[in-house]
Amino acid sequence: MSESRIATTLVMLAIFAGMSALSLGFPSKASFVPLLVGVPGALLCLAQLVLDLRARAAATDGGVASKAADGDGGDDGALQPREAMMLLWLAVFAGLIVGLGFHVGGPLVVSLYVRFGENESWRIALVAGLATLAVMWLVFTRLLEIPLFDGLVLPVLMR
Amino acid sequence: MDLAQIIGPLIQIVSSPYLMGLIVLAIPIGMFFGAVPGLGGKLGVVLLIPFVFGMEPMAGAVFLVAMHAVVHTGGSIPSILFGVPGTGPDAATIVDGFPMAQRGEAGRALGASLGASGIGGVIGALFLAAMLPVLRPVILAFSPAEFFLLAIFGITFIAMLSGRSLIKGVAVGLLGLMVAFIGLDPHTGTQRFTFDQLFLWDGVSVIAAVLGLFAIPEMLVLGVKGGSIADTPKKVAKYDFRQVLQGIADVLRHPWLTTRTSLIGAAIGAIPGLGGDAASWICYGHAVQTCKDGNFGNGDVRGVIAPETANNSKEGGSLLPTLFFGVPGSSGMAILIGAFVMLGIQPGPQIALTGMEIVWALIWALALSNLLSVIIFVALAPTFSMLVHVRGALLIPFVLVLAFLGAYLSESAWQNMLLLVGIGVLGYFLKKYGWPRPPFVIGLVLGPIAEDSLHKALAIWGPTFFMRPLSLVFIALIVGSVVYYIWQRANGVTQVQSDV
Repeated sequence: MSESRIATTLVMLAIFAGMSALSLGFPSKASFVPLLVGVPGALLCLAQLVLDLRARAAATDGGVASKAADGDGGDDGALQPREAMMLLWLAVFAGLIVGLGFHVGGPLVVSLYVRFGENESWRIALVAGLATLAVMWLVFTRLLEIPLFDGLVLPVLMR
Repeated sequence: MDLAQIIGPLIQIVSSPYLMGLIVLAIPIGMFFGAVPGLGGKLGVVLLIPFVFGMEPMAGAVFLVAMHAVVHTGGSIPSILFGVPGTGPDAATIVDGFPMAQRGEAGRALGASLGASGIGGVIGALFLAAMLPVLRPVILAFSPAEFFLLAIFGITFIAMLSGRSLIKGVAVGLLGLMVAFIGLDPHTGTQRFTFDQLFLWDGVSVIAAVLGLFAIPEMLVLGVKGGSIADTPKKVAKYDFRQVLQGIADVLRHPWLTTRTSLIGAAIGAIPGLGGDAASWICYGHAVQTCKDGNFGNGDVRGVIAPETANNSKEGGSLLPTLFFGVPGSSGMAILIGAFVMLGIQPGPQIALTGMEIVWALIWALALSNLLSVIIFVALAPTFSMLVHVRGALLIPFVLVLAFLGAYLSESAWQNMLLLVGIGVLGYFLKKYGWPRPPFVIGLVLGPIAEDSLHKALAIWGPTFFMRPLSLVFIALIVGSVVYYIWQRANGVTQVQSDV
């Protein structure tokens, strides 16, 4: 039983508990349904937390890493290096696209991912980036005439 | 039902080069996503969402449904030629399709798959059409009390079927409802959970949430797995056109099996959450049980026909709960719901009143795409057979960029991209630890309807609205479902896992 499994349940519990607590500050008509949903949700997560903790205790007692009590077949391992790397890449995607927009940030992050995330050659990375640029510019901007986001940072830099 | 309402959309589609062009374009795209193992229809819809932005609702919906309808037609190619399922539900095709390819009948197996997929898809569309006269009056008889209970039933039902833990499933469904409450309260105008962020006043974008919950986790999983999607031999089994025709003729030689498995597939598709895996395997089992003279497992063509008809016919069935109740028939349909909302089509009971033209257009699109896929399949099958070697990991950056684009375009708010990342990370861990995700979408889509209906029901009948006859039926269904689930668990009955 991994800690991250319990952490996931705790995050769910925190979301329900937090939203239910916030609902208490609303007028009664606005808080009625959120509380009607939030409180049972929090209780369910609490029940799941108890199941997770019991399963962890059982696994520790048995000396073997058992599957969770609900047997969902999920990976019980802690955050793997490759997993952490992918989450980091997701942050890089968000950062570059939000910062530099789709025309610049999109092709750039695709090239960077192909080169460093997948260890492909610079040539393939460049082709992937150019293909992304072509899709963004030709298909969305020119053909579909959809105004794409220019990013938060790029317009400031261009001034 | 008005005949003009039924035929009108068909005439509109076939007489419009634009709409027909979209269907013809959607078919190879759908087959591509089916033929590359590990991609599937869900990612296909995700990738196409930015492209349908700004389209007319009917055009966009027809394009997406046509693409989604033929994914499994393409998925049979790697199943038969390499023994690698293009998508999960195509696994049943391997049992007999791959042995046929190994003994030199690859073309016949492909032809059987093609014919079965085409006919199955059309029967699935007809099933959907046949159910409309039955379903429409039922929906129109619903009052706010039933709409509220329907939302609760939908969440409970999906939660049970889409995972092994009822607690997790219901909790995720309730989370979807909670997220649906973000924004201005329609009754009091109070800001709820908006943290003074203007982009949240109209609520959380369904597209951003769906993309975050499905596309991002799938890509993260693909990236964590790394390498190529499938280890397959480079050598492709040879076949000729005559064999393909022989396979198509095989389907026609078994009309009753084809019809039965198509109808079973469509019926299973109409049960939310049961998923395509169940449809194809149940129909395969049905073929084994009913064809006593069979040589199943060793290359019996009926072992290809049965799962392939089911794979395509279930798409028609699963549109039923998706369109009329806002309850996705499968995870692919969950994403389609998001896309429909973006296009201005609100799935749910009101579609029976105001959106029947769209419903019929989608039925015809289903039928036409399955018919046209036969021609396109014959022309492109050799090319598609090479797609199995595509490195899926290389698609990750493109899918991610398009997911960001879809999230941004849904409301032209850059903050939605941050929302996408947040929900995506949560979705990844939900997926990893067995929290089923489709209930979230149901909660999110049905949340506003459920809240509004509850307020109305309480205003009209007070707390006694639970005692209305139809309400009691829904309560009985909810209780019955939960009791059945507990009974199953107590007796160790294996649950059908859906493709979530």
